[in-house]
Amino acid sequence: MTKTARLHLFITLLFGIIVWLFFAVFYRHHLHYQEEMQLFLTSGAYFLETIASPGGLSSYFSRLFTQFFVDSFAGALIIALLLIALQQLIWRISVVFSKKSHCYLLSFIPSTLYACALMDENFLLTALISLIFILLAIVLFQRIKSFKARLVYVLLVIPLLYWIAGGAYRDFYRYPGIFPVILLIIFLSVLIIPVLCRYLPENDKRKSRVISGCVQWIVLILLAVWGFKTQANWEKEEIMAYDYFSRSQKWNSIIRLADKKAPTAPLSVASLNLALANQNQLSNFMFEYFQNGPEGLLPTFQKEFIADMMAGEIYYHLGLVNTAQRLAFEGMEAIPGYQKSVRSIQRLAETNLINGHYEVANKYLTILKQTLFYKKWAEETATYLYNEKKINAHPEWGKLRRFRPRKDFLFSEQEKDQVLGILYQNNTNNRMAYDYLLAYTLLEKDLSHFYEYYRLLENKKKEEMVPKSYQEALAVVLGQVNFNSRQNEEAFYKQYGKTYWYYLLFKYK
Amino acid sequence: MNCKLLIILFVFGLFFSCTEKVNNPVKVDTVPDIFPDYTDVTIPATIAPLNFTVNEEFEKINAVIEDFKGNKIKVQGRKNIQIPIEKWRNMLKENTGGEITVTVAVKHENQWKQYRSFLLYISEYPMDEGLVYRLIAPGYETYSKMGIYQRSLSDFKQTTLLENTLVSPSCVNCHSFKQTSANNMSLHVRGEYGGTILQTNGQTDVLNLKRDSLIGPGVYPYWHPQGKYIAYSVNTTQQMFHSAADERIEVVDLESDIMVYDIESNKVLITPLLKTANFETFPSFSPDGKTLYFSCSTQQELPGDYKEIRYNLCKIDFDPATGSFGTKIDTLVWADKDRKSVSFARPSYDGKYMMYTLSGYGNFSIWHKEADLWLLDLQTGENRLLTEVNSPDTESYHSWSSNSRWFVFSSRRIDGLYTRPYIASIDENGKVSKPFLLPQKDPDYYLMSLYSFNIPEFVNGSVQLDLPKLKKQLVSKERK
Repeated sequence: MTKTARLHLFITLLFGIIVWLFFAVFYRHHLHYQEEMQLFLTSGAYFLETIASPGGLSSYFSRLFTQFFVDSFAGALIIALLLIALQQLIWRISVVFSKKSHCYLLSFIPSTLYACALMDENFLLTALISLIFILLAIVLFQRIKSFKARLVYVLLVIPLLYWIAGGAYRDFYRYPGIFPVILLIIFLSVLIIPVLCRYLPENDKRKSRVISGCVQWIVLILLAVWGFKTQANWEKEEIMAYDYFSRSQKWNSIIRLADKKAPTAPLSVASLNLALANQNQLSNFMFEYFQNGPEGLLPTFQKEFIADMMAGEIYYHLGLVNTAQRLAFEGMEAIPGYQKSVRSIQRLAETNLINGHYEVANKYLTILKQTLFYKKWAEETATYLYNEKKINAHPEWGKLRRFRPRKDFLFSEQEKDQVLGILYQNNTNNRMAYDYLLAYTLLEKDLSHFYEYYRLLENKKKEEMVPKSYQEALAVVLGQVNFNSRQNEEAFYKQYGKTYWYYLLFKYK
Repeated sequence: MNCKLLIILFVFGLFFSCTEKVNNPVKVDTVPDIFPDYTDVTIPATIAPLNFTVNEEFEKINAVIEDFKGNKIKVQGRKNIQIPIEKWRNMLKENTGGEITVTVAVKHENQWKQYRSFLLYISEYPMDEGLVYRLIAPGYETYSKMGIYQRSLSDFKQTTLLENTLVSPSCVNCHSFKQTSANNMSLHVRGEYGGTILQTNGQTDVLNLKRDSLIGPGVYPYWHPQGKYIAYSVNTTQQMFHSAADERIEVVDLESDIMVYDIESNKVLITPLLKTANFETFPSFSPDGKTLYFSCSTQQELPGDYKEIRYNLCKIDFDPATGSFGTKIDTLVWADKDRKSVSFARPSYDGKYMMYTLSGYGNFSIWHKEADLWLLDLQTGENRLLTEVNSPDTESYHSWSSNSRWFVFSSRRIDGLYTRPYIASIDENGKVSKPFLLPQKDPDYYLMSLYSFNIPEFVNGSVQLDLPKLKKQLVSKERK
C-alpha cells in the first residue's frame, strides 16, 4: 500500500468513525425515531408491493436498513458504511475522469452533506441508496472498454436504474412533495466533483499540494459546519430521548436526564412526570423540576405522531387502555408519507390483548411476526391470546386490566380531572390515577378542586406521610402560608424555587 | 452417471415434487375449517377464484374441485389454495345453475388428512362487473392515505378511482352510483380543495353543495332512478370515544336534514318536512322514483343523550316531474318502539324489498356490534332479520346488484374491527344464500391488510375518471 493509499484509508476511516460516533452516541434517538416511523416486513408480498413502482427498490433498501436503527450502534454503522460507499464511488469515478489523486477530500463532500441531511429526522436513506446504485452503474460502465459492450450495457442499465431509483424521489423525504435544498446541493456536488477534479490544476510541488489539501479541508469543514448548524436539532433529540425512554420504560434514565438538564418542552415534561409517577415520586418531587401546566402532565391530542404516541404512553400506564389505543392509531395515521408504524402496531396488539379483543390482536401479532426485530416479541405475546389467566397474571397487562374502566364513559379532553377521578374510583389501587388527578388540579392551580379531591380521597389512601407537593398546596389552602405575586421572582426562586409555591405564583399564568 | 444427467434428474424431481399425490389420507367426516369460509356458498358464474387456506397447521394443502360431469381442477400449495383462473372460469361457466364439489386434504407430519367435500352452488343470476369501495384505516380522527378503488369481480384486479393524495390533505368519501351505473357517480372530497364530484355520462363537475339554506354540504347520497336528482342528507357530526373495553367510537349527528339536488338546474330542493329540528338522514329513492325513504328520529339533548336517539324508517312522496315533495311523512318501520334504530334503508331495484341495518341506537351502525341486516318485503309487509347473513359482530352498509339478485354488505365478523365485503344472493322467492367474502388472490390478504372496505357498491362497468383534469378542477376551487 502506498503512502497516499494509506492516507486515503485513514481519512475514510476517520470519516466513518466520526459519523458512526455521532449517530450512535450523540444523536441516537433520531435513529430510534426513524425506526418506529415505519413497518418493514420481511415477507415476499411486502417486497413485491414495494418494488412494484419505479424507485421501489431504493425505498425497499432504505426501509430494510432503517429497521436496524432500533439499535443506534447498528444503525449508525449502516449510515457510516453507506456514506463511505457513496464517497468511494465518487472517488473512483473522479479518478477515472482525472487520473489525479490530489482531490480525495473533495469526494467526501456529498457524504458529509448527506450525513448532515440525516440529522433532520424526516430525511430518509432512499436518496443515498439511489445515488449509490446510480454511481455503481457508472463505475461499472467505466470498467467496460469496448464501445459495443458499453452500448449494450447502457441500453440494459438505463431501464434497470429507472426501476431501481427512477421514482424514488417520492421517498427521499418523509413529507411527500418536499425536496429539501440540501438534497439539491448533494446531487449537484455528486455531478460537479468528478468534473472539478479533472479541471483542478495538479502541481507536483509539495507547497502546492499542502495548500490544495488545506483548501479542501477548509471547504469540507465549512460545509460540515453549515450542514450541522442548519440540520441538527437538539431540542428534538431531547424530546426523542424522553420518548425513547418512555417507550422502553426506562424511568430512571428519564429522571437522570432531567437531573442533568430540566426539560421544558411539554412532551418532555410529560415524560418526566410519567417517570416520576411510575417511581411513586410524582407527588413529592414534580415541582423540583420545571412544570409548564397541565399540558406537561396530559398533553392535548394533536394529529402528530410523536405527540400522540407520548400522550398514549401516559394513558396506557394510567389504565385508560382505550384512549391509549386510540392515540396509537391516531399517531400511526398521522405519519407523513403514509407509512405505518411498528411501534403503533405493537401498542395496538397490546391494548387489544388487554381488552380481550383477541382476533384483532392476533392480526397485529401476525403482522409483527413478519418483522425482524419484533418477531420474537410477537410470538411470545401470541401465547397470551385467549388465555385470560395468563394475561391476568402478567405484571403489566394484568394490572392494566384491573385498572381500566369497567363502566363506560366518554373520554373528554376538556374534563381530564373527571376522567382521572372516575379512573381512580374504578380501582383505588391505581395510585398513578390518584397522583395524576391531584397533580392535574395543582398544575391547573385549581386549589379548591385539589382540596375537594384530596379530602374525598385521603381516607382511601393510607399514606404514612402527606407528599411534599400536597403539603405545600394544603398550606396555601389552609392559610398557613401567604404569598403574593408582587414578590420578587428571583429572590423567591432562590428560597422556594423547588416548591409548588413558586409554580403557583410565577408559572403557567 | 454424468453431471448433465444428474441435473436433468434433479430438475425432473423438483418438477414432480411440486404436486404430491395424496396417498392414504385419513378421512375426516367434517368439512374443513377454511378461511375464508366458502363452504356451501352460492356464487355467480363470473366470480374470481375462491382461493382459500385452512385454519390449522400443515405442510401442504391439496384441493380437488370437481363437477358432476367429471371435470376436475387439482390444486396444491404450501400456504394456500390458489385456483388457476382460466380453468375456474370454464368450470363455473359449464356448471351455471348447478353445483361443484371441493375436496380438501392437508398434509401434516407426513400424514395426509382428507376432509368431507363441500359444495359451491353456481347461481344462474349474473352479477355486475365490479365493486367500488373505499379503503381506509378504521381510525378515529386522523387519516393517512385512503382511496376509492374499483375491483373487477371476475378477477383480482383492483384499480384506483381516486386517492386522497390527489389533492392533499383531503378525505374522499360517499361514492354513489345511479343504480350501479358506472357512468353516473357522485362522491365527495373534503378538505381545502373540497367539493362534490359529479360524473354524468362522461362529464365531470365539481359542486359546492353547501347552499345558504342548509346546515352543511351534502353527505349521504342516493341517486334518483331517472338520474335527474340526487338526494343527500346534510349532517353536523360529532365523534366521541368510549373508555370501556368493548366499545371504541360513537358518531352522532348533532343535527341533520335531507335535501334533493336537481342536477339539471343545479338547485337544491327542500321541504320543511325534511328540514326540521328532528333528525332526518340516509335518504333513498324507490325504484319508480316516486317515494323518498329515509331514517328519522326525534330530537334529543346531544351529545349527552346519544344513546336515546333511535331512527324509524320513514317515507315521503316525491314527484320527479316537478321536483316537489308530498305533504305528509309515513313511517314504515317503528324501530324506536322496540328501542332499535334504522340506518341505510336501501330498496332493491326491482322494488320488492327494502334492506336496512338495525342497531341499538344512533345511526353510525358500523361501530355497533349489535347491528344486523333486516329485510322488509315491500309487497307483503313481512319484516325479518336476515339470519342467513348476519353474524354476532357488526353488519352495516349494504347495496344491491343491478338485477336485485345479489347484495353486498360490510361486516366485521372476522376480527371485530376491520370491515370486509360479503356478497349473498336472494332469489325470486326471497331465499337468501350463505354469504361469501370477496375473494382475494392471497387468502392472507384480509389478515395482513390494515384497511377497511367502506361503502361497497356494485358497478355495471368500469368507472372512468380523468384524474389530471379532476385535479385541476379541484385545485382551481371553482365550484358549480
